Amino acid sequence: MNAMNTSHFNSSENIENNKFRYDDFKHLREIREYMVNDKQELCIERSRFITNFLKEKGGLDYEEENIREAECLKNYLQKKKANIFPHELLAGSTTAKRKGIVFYPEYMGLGMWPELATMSCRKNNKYMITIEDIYELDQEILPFWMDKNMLELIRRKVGDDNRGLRLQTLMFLFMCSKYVCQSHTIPNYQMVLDKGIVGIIEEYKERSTVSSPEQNKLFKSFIISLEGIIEYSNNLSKEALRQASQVNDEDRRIQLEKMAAICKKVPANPPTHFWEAVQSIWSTMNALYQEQNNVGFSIGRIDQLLNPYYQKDIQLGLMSRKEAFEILAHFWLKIGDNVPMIPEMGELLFAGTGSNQAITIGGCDKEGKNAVNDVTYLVLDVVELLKVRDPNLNARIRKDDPPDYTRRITEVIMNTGATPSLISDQVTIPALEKIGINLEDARDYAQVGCLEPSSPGRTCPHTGAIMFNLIGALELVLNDGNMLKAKNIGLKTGNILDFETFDQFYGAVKQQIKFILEIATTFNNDLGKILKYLKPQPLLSSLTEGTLDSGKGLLEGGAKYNSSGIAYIALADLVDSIYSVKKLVYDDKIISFKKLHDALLNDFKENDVLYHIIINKIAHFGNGIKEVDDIAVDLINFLYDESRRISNYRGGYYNPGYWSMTIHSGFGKITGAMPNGKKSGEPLTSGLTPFSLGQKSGPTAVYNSLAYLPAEKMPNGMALNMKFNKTLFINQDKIALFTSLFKAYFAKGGMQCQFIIQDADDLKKAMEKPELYPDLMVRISGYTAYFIDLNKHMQKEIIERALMEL
Amino acid sequence: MIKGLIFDIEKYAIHDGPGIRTLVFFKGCPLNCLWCQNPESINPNPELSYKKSKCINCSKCSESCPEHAIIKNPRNFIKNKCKVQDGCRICSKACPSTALEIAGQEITVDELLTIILEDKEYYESSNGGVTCSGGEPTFQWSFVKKFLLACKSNGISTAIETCGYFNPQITEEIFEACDIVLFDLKHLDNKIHVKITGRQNEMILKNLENLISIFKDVDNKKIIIRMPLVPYNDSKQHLLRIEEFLIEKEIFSLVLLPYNSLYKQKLINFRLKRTKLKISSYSKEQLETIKNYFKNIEISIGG
Repeated sequence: MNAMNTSHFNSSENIENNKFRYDDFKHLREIREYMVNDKQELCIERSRFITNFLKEKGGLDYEEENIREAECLKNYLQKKKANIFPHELLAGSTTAKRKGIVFYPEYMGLGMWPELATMSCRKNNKYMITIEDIYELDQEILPFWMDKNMLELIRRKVGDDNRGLRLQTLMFLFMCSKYVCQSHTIPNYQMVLDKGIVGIIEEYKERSTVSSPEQNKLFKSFIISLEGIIEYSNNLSKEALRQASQVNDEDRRIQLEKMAAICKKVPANPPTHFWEAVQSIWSTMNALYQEQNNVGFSIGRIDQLLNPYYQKDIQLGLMSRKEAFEILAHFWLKIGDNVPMIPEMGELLFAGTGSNQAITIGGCDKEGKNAVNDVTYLVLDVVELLKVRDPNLNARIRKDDPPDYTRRITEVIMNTGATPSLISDQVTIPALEKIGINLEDARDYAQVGCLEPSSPGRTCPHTGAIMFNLIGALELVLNDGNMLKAKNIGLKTGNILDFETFDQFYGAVKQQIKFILEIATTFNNDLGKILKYLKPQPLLSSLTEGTLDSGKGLLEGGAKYNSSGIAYIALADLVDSIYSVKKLVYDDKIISFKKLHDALLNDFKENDVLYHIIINKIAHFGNGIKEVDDIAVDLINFLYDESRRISNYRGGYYNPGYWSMTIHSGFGKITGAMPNGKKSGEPLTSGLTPFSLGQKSGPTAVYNSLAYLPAEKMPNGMALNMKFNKTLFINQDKIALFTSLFKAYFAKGGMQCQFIIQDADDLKKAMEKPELYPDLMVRISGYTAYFIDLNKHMQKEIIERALMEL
Repeated sequence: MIKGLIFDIEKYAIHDGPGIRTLVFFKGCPLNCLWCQNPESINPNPELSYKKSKCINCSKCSESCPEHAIIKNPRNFIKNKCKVQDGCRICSKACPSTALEIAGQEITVDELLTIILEDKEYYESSNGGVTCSGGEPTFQWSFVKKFLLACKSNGISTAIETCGYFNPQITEEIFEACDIVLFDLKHLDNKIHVKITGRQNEMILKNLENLISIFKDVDNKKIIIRMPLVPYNDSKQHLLRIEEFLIEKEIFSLVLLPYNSLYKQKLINFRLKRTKLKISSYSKEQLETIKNYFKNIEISIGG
């Protein structure tokens, strides 16, 4: 680290006096400005290379699929542009562009085809592209994939009449994400750091001597793809030397020479120093993103991964805290160098989303001892200064956390207005144990994607496999198998007027959910089989614990743990609606089911009194009222049992979770008025956040309701958005109360919580003058978005969400 | 069973006493301050509130009223026919939009305690607790005392906000039931005090002195002196007198609660007639100036 020997700090100094500002660094502000403000460009480099490779080799049937994919990947990694951008301390980039959108023609790439010419001038999330690239996509790349992408392959497999395919295409009741991505996992970066890619290759080679021919083929594919990383890294090293020979600035020359040496060494070999460790992870990430989509591809427990290197460098005086800060800050900005590609229609569902690469800090070690360390605080400092959307930071909270840790978390939430989101060890570790993860591995959990807990590096969790619209199931029950906007898609559960008791009605809702769940999971399993052929992912397989011993790839169930995740959307709306029907129709007999149903069909237009009774006089979830919250508990238990009953295509089971990104808004648009007072087209509730119009008892009541839910039945995570007005926290004492509030919530058994700290005025102003608020962050559900990237609909929702103030 | 008459419960209150607290607002007050921020708290009986902005003109209230006190909508309200003071709640129950609400709900100690206990973990994690406000909580002392002692026996820290106008004989009991007393001073000059609150200040000052002497140097017990800041008491001369008065009592901090006019909407909702005050809220600069008058005691603004 001698190249940056300019430090004034050392680790023994108090954290307080050790905060850095942009002015402490020569180029940090400039790099950050570029990453936040500059245009995102669609990058076709990957598509070009893999298309040409496959064309040359004769298409998808060239070789066994793992070998095909590995060779294809290695071929591309050899040729991938080796980028080192001005002043940056980490070599390599996800795409050939500085801030790029990776184009994956085998997934949803074709979905962008009609928009190629217009996507640079669409309203939100513009993508830049050159005329030449459009031409190449039109003429060379996309035609090749017309019969080889996920959608086409599944259509051919199951046929157009397939119920799952029809419902998937409608996107009213569920959405299987495999069209877009598998990802949603954490590669085993620990393995890369401990053994180096060369060491990992050695292990597979050694094992090949005692394996079956089939397994040998698989391991061969692993080795080929791993070799690709080394070649890519060598190219980065060469590029660093090339730039060093041409640069005039002496400091930069030394830096580049250092980077050349680092890239020569890692990730092929285990790193010795902090900088090397970070570069090792970054180079490996670059390679993984060429294999498959960059959505929810998460990094894991960065503070645990990096702390040994940090400690050693600091103790030996080889690096200062400031230098470590700068390297980590560059890493943070590099992580955001890619954005997922979302067609305009998808914007409605996934507005403003980044690539959701979750990073987790805090927690405990394998023995259960608190593991907050110096790098934990370094990460918080970096996040506080940079205020960027990606990566998505999650902080584990434990009873034995040092007070400094929770205080710093609160400060960073206040200063960024949004991040980190918090997850509680107290309930999350048992939730993971319950689904069969051993205690040691459960203690090692990190968040994937938005906020789904997973044991990193040894699990294939595909946590975002299915998004499930619960309120759609209710609409089907209310209309005997029809939705208002789509007829004959559900189970005919009978005319509601024939439900003589509440239990009959409630039973029908559960039956309907089971029916759709069956279709959704069957379809997802079909997709999984296609994926196994189209995208078997030898590289990710090779970097996952379990594949070596099982001799199976990731999609064959080779990981140590296998599961698929379902995100159930709008549970709060469903609970409220069921309770509302119970009170109005069955218990208090205020109105007949017929009249209630007519009012819903009429969107409450001539039923203002009924609407107000529902909003004001019928209790809603989130007010700490047992009778209502018990329905939520019952449904969560029901959904757990039903989901865990179904096996996936990898020998695992489906895990239920409750989060919605921005999909609740899209699902809300296509559903009509509901008995909880949701009007036609209005957004559904986000994650497990209670219905805003029904919240009457303040944040502690919301927390009490949420803490009452059985967290062990939500192994795929949950999201609670709490919005607080900035004005509540006028001084240090009041800020400390914020810490007390979430600590009490977690002590009571709450699982997760994330915050929006904003003035509604701020947001309104940003809606009017977006150009003045390029970096105003808001937390959606499990991820943070730039407010101005959201569509008007979402912006309004964020503003209208009940302000939890006095 | 003894019942209290309350008009609101506010959870997650972080501005009245330390930590996260639940505030219980009791009805009835012996004082009648011109600027009273909770004018619905003064009358010790239930009162009907009508929020016009929430009314959807459905006439459910007039249809349901057995006394025919409401004709079509609550804008045509015949007060002397209304039986709200006798416990009638029919119209507010019938109102779907919460435009009609009743300030003044009877509650038992157990019922209130159940609500308070829901947030126990938050008090514990923040050194908060329960605060009885009003109105004047000592106005219903036998209930409040029982309630506060019940809180204490459940391990919850207790506080009251008082105007100090209470029977001196209960001073010891206040000490026993409360960990914190938030004591509101209004004015040191008796004549002005009468003019702006309707009562003399002699008993208030005497009660304060007594409380200070018992609370003094007792571990985990505290008196916090507060003063609403209104144009009647904000002169430099009076504020310096306050400072001197407090120092004499060996009290070295004061919380100022700047007047705001939010209560005016309540006057309309409750059809209460009061002298119109021609004063506006304090600016930041004004508050800074006022703060600077004090040289020897610590001033904090807000609640």
